[in-house]
Formats: sequence, structure tokens, C-alpha cells
Amino acid sequence: MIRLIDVTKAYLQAGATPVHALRGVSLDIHSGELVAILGPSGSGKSTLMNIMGLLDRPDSGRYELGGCNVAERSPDELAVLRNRTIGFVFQSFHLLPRATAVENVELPLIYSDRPNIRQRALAALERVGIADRASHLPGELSGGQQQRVAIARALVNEPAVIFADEPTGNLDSEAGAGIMALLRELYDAGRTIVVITHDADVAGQAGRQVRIVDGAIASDRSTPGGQAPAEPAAARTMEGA
Amino acid sequence: MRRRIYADGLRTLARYRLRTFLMMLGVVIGVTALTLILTIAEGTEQKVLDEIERMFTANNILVRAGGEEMRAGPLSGGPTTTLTPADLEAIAGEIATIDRWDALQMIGSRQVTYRSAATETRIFGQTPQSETLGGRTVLDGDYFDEGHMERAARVALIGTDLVAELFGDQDPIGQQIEIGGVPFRVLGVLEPMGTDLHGMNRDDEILVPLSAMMRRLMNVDHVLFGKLHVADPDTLEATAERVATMLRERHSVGPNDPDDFTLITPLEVRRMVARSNRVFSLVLPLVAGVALLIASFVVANLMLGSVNERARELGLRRAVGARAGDIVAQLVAETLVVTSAGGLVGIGLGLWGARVVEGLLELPPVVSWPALVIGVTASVVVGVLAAVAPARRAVAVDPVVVLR
Repeated sequence: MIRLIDVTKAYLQAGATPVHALRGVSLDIHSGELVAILGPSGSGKSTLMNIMGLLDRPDSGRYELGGCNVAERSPDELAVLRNRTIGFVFQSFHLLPRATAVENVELPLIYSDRPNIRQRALAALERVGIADRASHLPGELSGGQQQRVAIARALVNEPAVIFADEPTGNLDSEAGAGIMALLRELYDAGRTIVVITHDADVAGQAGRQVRIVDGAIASDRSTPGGQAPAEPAAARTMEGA
Repeated sequence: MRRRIYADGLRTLARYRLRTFLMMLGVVIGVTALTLILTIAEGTEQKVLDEIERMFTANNILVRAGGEEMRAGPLSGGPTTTLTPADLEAIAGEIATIDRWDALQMIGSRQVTYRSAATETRIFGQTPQSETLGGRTVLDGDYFDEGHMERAARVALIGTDLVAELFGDQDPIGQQIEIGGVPFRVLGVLEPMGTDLHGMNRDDEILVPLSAMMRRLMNVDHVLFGKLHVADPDTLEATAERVATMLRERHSVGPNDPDDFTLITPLEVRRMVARSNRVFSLVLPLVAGVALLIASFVVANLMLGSVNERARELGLRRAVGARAGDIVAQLVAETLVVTSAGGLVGIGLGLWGARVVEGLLELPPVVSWPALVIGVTASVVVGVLAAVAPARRAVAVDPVVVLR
């Protein structure tokens, strides 16, 4: 599904030495996994997510998404690829403030060629449990509800993978727990989900934890509490086939 | 897919109503000014052309007493007294292509009384031919005829404003008025004509037979203008040359001396009109351009502000799959809708305003098609131009930066 081979990324700062955000990261994420990328701020985990999410390009190394090398793709092709295969969930939701919940969820569909976008958006809201808030503006919703709208937006195009960058960072613990439960549910239903977090408790709910320190992978392990990644994923793949 | 993007652009306009309104206002003001100016200019031009058409049909050669160097003319400088009705009669008799002629003498202002009512007005003296050659006849009563002309009859045709001033509701026909103390009988009432190009109210004047004017009111033997009617317009320029030759002979103008008369032919009038039109055609596009520029700036600025304000939205759109072209399409659609709607409103307001101004200035009501075309084109061009800079900036928005 996702394969990173020796990926590096450095940011140039005016007058200062370049910041090496990623120093040779190699990582495989399989279809149907729930992976937490864990690390302190400045460790390079956001850079990693931007590269995996096709919002940024690596300086060197290879990135394969669904078996194809994305380095060869043009910006517009990447946009289409993001639209079809990737869903984003952000820490600060990033909903359009003057658009209703359902209009926000429709946003990725506008750039797709799928029919019946209103029904699909409503179905996605139903899936995250807030169909009754479809015509509310984000400002009229609680933080947890707003993040649910954002997750519905990430889901609506049925992407191959959902990237969630600190999805609970702006929420109280109760709402945060609800969001993590929702992501677990989606994982259980077969979605591939990558959660970026600095919170060990959040990461603990994932079956696999990849720890990033100073732009390199410090550890990569599957916790006994979470589902073991390889076996159920393989099972699901076989069921799907 | 593009249809969805355009529809989303419309929704965005609805979401930011104040900004949409201000953007539209910029275009409305620009296009209103444009339409107003162009329509009034065209109305003015039309009026000039109508007047010229009336004064100089393609068949007329106008002879003015005084040479080219006296452009200001006999009305301001010393009068040239060499042009006489006898000249015109002789020319018309000699040159076969000329079938009719008229001549004009004028008093700028003289007292006119009827019983106890008195006023000052302008007096013209012309031949009976002026009825057909001048294109103005009587509303009531009769025009004077050759008999009146021969007898230098004291009969007068008076304008409608003068009728109202001297007679009120009374019927003026047959009444006796005094022009500078000389009694005249009112023969007819002149057709209303309004204000002419010189700003003179042509309904506040008196027309008398040329002979009566010269003998009884002025005691002169010369005229200011002559008008020669040529049956076949094709022979007009050749005829004008013969007229010049004859007049130089009759006035004993030496071979090296300048003419003491000026011939004005339709060809020359057309040249004059073309000259004045050049002013229109230079100034108007300039005015239009300025209006367009201002509208562009307003819309582009608001759109740029909008793009800055919406950086996150645009970054998010990129993140969820909008291609650069999709973003540009949306912004162009947004500005185009606003500017086109603003353009239509502006044209409506401009035409309505132009009607009001035309009413005040007594201009013919025209619909300036160039103004409409320019107005619509301008608003579309403004829309596209105003979208270019914001769209470039919008496409440059980096989702990584704005979605942090």
C-alpha cells in the first residue's frame, strides 16, 4: 500500500543551516493497517505525513503509493491521486466556516467525477453519527462534532488511506476518545488509517506504532493490546479478493 | 465536474455577500459611468449630425460673406458687405446646375412689441425658398411667398416661444406687431425647433422676407449668407468652383488677393464633422479605459484580499484534490459572475441616467450600441483580468503551509 525507501527531506532556512526533517526513512504500511506515527514535536512526523499524503515531495529516496512511484507524477496528477486515494483529518479540523457540514463533506466530491454528491455526503455524515447536523455551520458544532464532519469529509471519496494529523489534539479527552473510537471502527471496517500523534495514549490504541526521533525511525512495533497488523490485514485482503 | 466547481464558486459568492456586493458595486459604477458617457456623447453627436443634415443637405453650397481669414465671421468683426442677392441671382441664372437659391440677413437683437407686451429677439430675413431649402415651415398660418418678397411686405413668421411671450393664449395670426418700431403683420407661426448647436433658442425668433429685412429694418444691400441648391449632388463640387470664379469676377478680386467669401460644401462639412468626431473617438475610449481600469482595480483588489483571506480554504481544496486549473476556474467563474451581473446593472443604470440627462439637455434619445457592447465586453474583460492576479496567488498557495 505505502512503501517509503530511504526518504530524506530537508528544509532550507534563510541564512541558517538546512533542517533535516527526514534522514533516510524506510517504512511499509499495508492495506487495512491502523498505524500510529509517534514522536515529539520537531521529530519530522508531520513532514512524513505530508510526503505520504502527497502534499510534499521527498528530496531523495523512493515513495510508492499503491505500487506506483509518485516521484514521476505531475502536480495535477498528484491532486487527482490525493482526491481518489487519500483522506485528510487535521488537528484544527480545517472546515470551511461559512459552509454547512454537508457542504464541507461534499468538498472532495466536487473535484471527483462521482455522481450524487449530496447523497454520498449525507451517507458519510451518517457513518460518523452526525447526520442530524448536516445543515449546521461548523461554528454551531462542538469540537468533537466538527472533527466528525472532517472525518466524514476524509471518508467520502472512499480513499485507500486516511491520514489523521493529531486528530484529538484540539479536543477534550472525552471527545478525543470518541474520535479515536470512530477511527478504530473505520479500521475494523477495513480502512487503512495512519494517525500522527505525540500522545502515547492515542498511539497505544493503534495496532502498530512507529516512533520517529530526529527524522529517523527509532522503533517500529506492534503492541500486544492492539490488533496484530499483518495477519488480519492479510485475512481481509483475502476476503476481499 | 467543472459544473460542480462553478456551482461551488456561486455558493462561495453567496457565503461572502458583503465582498460580492462591493465587488459588484465597483463594476456597476464603472460600467454606469461608461454607458452614461458614451450614450450622452452619442446623443450629442446625433444632434450635431441631425442639425448638419438639416442645414447642409447634399445639394447645398453655402456662401458666406467674408474670406477664410475671417473665420470669426461677419457677426463679430466688421461686416463684409460685398455679397448681395444680385450675386446669387446672377449665379443661379448663369450656372444651369443651380435650380434654387436663398439668402440670409440677420439682426442679433431688436425690440419687438405687441400692444403693451415687449421683448427683445433675433430677426432673420430670408427668401421664400427658405421654406424648402431650410427644412422649416410654419405650424400655423402661411409662409411668405414671392409676392411678399417683391413688395418687401411687412409680414413676419414668429417662433412658438415668442408667441407665448407676446400673445399668451391669443391667436397671433393677422395681428400687428412692431419690430424696432416698424409695423409687421403676423403671417404664420414657425415650427418649433428647440435649441440649436450654437445654443440659440430657435423658437424665440422672427423670420421676415429678406427684402423687407434689408430695406425696412436694416437699410443694407448685402447679405451674410447665400445658399445655392444644386439639383444633382454629383455636380456640386464642380459647380462650387464655377461659383467661386463668378464671385471673384463679380467682386473684382485680383488674382493674388484672397476671396471675400467662403464656400462651404457638404464635402467640407463632412470633413469638419470628421474632425470633431476624431475628438469623440479619441476621448471616449480613453474615458472608457479609465472606467474599466478603476473597476478592474477594485475587483482585483477585493479578489486578492479574498484569496489571502481564503488561503486556508484554497489550501484545503488543493489537499482534497483540486488541480491548479480547478482553482483558477473557480476564481474566474466567481469574478465573471460578479462582473457580468455588475455590468448588466451598470448598463441599465447608465441608460436610465442617460435618458434623464438627454431629457435635460434636449438631446435625441439614442441607445448607444457601442456603449452596450463596450459595457458588456468591459465587464467580462474586467472579470477575467481581475481574476488573473488572484488566481496566480491562489495556485501558489501551499497546502503544507496553510494547513499546519
